Amino acid sequence: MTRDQLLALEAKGEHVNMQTFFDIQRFVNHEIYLLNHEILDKWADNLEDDLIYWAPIRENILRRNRTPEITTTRVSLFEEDKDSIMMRLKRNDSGMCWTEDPPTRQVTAISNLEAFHTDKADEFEVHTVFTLYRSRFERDDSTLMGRRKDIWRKVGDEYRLAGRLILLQQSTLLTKNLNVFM
Amino acid sequence: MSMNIRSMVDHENGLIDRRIFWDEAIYQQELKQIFARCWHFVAHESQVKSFGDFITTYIGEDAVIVARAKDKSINVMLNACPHRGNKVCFAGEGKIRSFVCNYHGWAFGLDGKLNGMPANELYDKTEGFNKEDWGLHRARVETYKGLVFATFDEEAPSLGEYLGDFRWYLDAILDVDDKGTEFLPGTTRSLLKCNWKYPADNFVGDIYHALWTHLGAAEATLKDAGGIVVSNENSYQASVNGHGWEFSLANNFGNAATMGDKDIIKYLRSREQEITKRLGVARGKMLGSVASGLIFPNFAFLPGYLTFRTFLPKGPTETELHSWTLVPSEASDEIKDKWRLGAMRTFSPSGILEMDDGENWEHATLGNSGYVTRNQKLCYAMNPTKGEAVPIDLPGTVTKGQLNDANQRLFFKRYTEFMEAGSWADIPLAESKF
Repeated sequence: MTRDQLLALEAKGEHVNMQTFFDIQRFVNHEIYLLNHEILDKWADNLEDDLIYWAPIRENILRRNRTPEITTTRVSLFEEDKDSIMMRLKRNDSGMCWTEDPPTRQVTAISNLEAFHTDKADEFEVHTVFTLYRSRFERDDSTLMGRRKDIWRKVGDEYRLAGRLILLQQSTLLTKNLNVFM
Repeated sequence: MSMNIRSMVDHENGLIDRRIFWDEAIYQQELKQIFARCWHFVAHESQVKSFGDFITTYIGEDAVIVARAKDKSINVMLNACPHRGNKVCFAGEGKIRSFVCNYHGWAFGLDGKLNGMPANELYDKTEGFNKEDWGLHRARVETYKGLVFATFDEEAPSLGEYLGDFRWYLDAILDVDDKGTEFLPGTTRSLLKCNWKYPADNFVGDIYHALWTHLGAAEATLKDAGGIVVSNENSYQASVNGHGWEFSLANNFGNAATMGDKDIIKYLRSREQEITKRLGVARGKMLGSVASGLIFPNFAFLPGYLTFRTFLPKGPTETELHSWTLVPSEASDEIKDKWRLGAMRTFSPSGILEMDDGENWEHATLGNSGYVTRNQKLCYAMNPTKGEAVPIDLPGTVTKGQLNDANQRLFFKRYTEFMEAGSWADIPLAESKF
């Protein structure tokens, strides 16, 4: 996948049928279950090798300025391939990640699911919005909302994540970090 | 109320009263005594390359606009309409011909001059009203090798005097070739619930924390290279006018290696000989080494990762972190892109190293809500090389061994000088040797 492909996801394809929608929703929901319960090795098993996982920074741009807000040359919040995701998981697994102990409690609510056919028979464009709530220690908390534009690839009976564009809504993140995947 | 900062900061013995990280009255004094006086980094020239380019940022809590005018000058002015006080620009960056206030439509040029307003005949008939008196309030502006600084204090010395011999060190990043440097596009902003001085004193001279705080992250990228290597062999802390750089001359690609990208190491290796020829042996080893630095009071950077960042104060217990990635302009697009990714994966809100730091600074700050807690002293006493001679000739106040609280003690010495000074005349400047 490329980031340009993700930027082109504009909900213009043909809606999938009820059965496909149901199957995709099962995988999308279960992915969140794995993330929220820190079952990250199993989560990573369901990532395609050509994965692009991208959360661009957001900026306040005047409407009259024709330069797009999100471009591939700007710095990102996440811009991962499968290898760099595995590198990040190594930090979590090191047993020396002091700030993650005790662990973060997290719940991600997703909704507004829409799924479309693409020009590839085995790839589906899937849109969701999410609310990510995190709580740590006694009273440290953060709520982030965003929009995801995904490519899910059908491999056998499974749907696997091949691309994700995460559009957080804050131009200044009102939180100290992004210590979980979205 | 004037606080007696000198009684709270014993920089010689390294005893720092925790109230300076918490107290609202002290914080208000900092805005006046430090932020309204110092030279502050506001932009890299590459962010405002041509006529009409602008960015918005802050000096202390004062919102400012940085804009390039038609005569190529860079202007820094308050982002506040002098008429009723509203902000005149709500974008973070862009291209524009004039800033028009949303409230009554007063329009200002890229140099801050009041150009006009709706129904201007109302003012034409107003006795004593001169448009020249009502422009955006301007700061003094000077640049150093691509970095744009501004101050609102008319009495401040020149930027050159303010930086002093710290310029010699800065050249190890800013002047490694004839083409200079640039920021990659985009500003990353996040909020830390900590006092601004915790990240500032961390960058000015605390490599000690890396041996523990960052063990988990180091495991992810440096395991095969033997983990984090920091020692007091052939490493130093240098301080000039409160600015500081702690660095190794032994582990000269150590910071860069943490990004886990072989191509960046290869690039740095390929440049070493030429940089050494240009800047000498010591500075030939400083572009990627295990190091961190700070320009007083709150502009920090890391060699290797080439992240540059400001810790903008938002009250005594909140700090906004703005960060950018700087690259040598002569590097190929591929290498610049590697730095874009490497800096993001280590030092950004999702970065495996930055995530370790924020948690520490927040809880160091928030614990001060306890009366007994905040009346304790913190320990900045580490001084393992006391009396040992520095074997090479380096500018500034130099201490042998990067594992040392020397720069942090000198940061708080400088902090006290500013907090107690009646004006710039009371603030000493180190003499230049180089």
